[in-house]
Amino acid sequence: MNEKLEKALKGAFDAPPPKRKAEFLLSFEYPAASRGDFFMAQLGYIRKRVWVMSALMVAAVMVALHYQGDINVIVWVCASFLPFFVLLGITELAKSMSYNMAELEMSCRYSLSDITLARLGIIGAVNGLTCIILTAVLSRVSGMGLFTFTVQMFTPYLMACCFSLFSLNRFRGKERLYICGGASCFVSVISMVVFNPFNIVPLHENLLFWLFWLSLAWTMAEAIKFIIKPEDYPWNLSLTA
Amino acid sequence: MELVIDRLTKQYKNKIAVDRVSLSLKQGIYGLLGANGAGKTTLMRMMCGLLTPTGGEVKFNGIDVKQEDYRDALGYMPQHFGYYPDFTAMGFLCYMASLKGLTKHRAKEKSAELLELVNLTDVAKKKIKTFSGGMKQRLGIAQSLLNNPKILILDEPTAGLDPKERIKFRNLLSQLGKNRIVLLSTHIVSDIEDIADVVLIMKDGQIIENGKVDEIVSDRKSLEKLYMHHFGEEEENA
Amino acid sequence: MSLPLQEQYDKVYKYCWFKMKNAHLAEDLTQETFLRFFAGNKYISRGKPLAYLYTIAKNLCIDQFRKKVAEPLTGELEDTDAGLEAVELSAVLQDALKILPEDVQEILLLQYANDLSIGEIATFTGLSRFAVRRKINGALSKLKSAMREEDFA
Repeated sequence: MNEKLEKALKGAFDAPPPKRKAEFLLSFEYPAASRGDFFMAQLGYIRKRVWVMSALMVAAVMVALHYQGDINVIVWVCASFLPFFVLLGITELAKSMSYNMAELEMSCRYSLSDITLARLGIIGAVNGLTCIILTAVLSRVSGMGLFTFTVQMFTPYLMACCFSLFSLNRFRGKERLYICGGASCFVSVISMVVFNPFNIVPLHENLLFWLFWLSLAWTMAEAIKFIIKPEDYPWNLSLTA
Repeated sequence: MELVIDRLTKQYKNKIAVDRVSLSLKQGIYGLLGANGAGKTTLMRMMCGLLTPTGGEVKFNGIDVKQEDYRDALGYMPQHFGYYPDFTAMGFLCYMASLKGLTKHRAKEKSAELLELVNLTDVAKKKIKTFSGGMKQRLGIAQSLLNNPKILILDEPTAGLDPKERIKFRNLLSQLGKNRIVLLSTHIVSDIEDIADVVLIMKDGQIIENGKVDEIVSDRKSLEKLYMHHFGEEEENA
Repeated sequence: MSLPLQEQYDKVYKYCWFKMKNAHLAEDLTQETFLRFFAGNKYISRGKPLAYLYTIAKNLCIDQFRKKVAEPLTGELEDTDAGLEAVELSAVLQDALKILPEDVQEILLLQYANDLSIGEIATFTGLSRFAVRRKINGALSKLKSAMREEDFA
């Protein structure tokens, strides 16, 4: 009997149907997500490979250290791999262009420039964190000064950065990514062949030093250009209406 | 509710794509008709803040097109758009929703509603790469409605829809036009006749006809004749 | 709020109608409730308690009472699309409900018609969960004795 009563109670309070519901709901301003929510969402859309590659590198270094590999070799190998992080970052940044989503994204409240900044921030943080961890772990063991270590480790990375950003700023369309890929490979090869620890000569040390500062300055210049400039996507130059 | 376009111009090195267009759009459905290359897409892109005009301005209720609040009130469907690989229909809508400022919870609700509206509910979890052109088109229309926009700009929305889908689309649009400003472009005359309240004919970057469809069209065939009158020669010469 | 706004609208409306017995007014108050619930809260806070929604509705109803005398009860039976038996049961039940104090009726509405949990009702009324349960059980037995066994045949 209780069940019947409870069932009946369910309907005992029925009211005449509301008349203005559809209208109200249609025009109702739902509370919006904050910029923070947007950023967190973007975090979720960064491809797994970015996280995986960073984790793998750190893990590989740890393993190598554990087996007491030659520190100079470890640094050299890391330095030669880091340019590919740049490639990974760049492809992530250029996702909207690669998959033809840019036009749609530009028309949204959080538009393409917000998305790019978010991506830049996230990738920068991941890369930065990886670099910090690698530096913390390796520089002490290597016995070189911190600055010398930084130059050895990150010059190829910076070179890849500036070539890639330059390519993104100067050229158009998908070719840019191929150029970035090429640049990363090129720098990686140079690093392996020229900057290896087996035939380091004092001359080389200075060369690396200059390359470091040059790349750093150029990277910053191109990065600023990249962030500031409005997105003149290919259609600006095409005349299709 | 008023979208004011004031002497909007887009000039390239050797061509003027949009030439001092001035319009005042209020609630209702506007059909933008014109041949390829007439400037329709360029005009629409400027109305969405995608292109920087070389002259003139676009304002909605006083809000300039470059501002976030303008985009907040805007829904846009480009002629061609892509998708991130492995996105499902639902995933795509939820992604777009996150860009339009919907909370995750609201995004799921609204996406489901819209998929229902465009008849894509049964493929909600399927990947977009398996979709036909018409299905993708419907998805595009759905995403433009996520933020309940007051301005809806659709670039060739009926291209690739079969006749049945076209009719559904017309019905949908007539509902939407009631408290919104809807601008849709097409080069199919019959679409405009059946859907739009006002027709705008664009040629060489200028609006050459602007008026209520029934005023311009006195007998059934007139809109087509008018169109042919303006564009007929070009088509013959093409 | 875990339920979509559409359903919440109906539920809050039911509550307001119970208080005001006037459909138009109830709808006004429902809409106002939602506007206030989300107001000044541009960024939705996750899991704002449901009880809060009803608190807003209750306060709005109280304010409304203060403003003007509510229109008299229509006293008509509501249409349900269940069978005749259900309609009869409904009529008897509605009469029986009237013997209960209003706050108890309110709790029954929230519990059975609007599917609020005991916890949510407790938050809303300010009573302990135990007290809420006791009131519900007390109400159920009063209703049972007020209505005859046959009504449930």
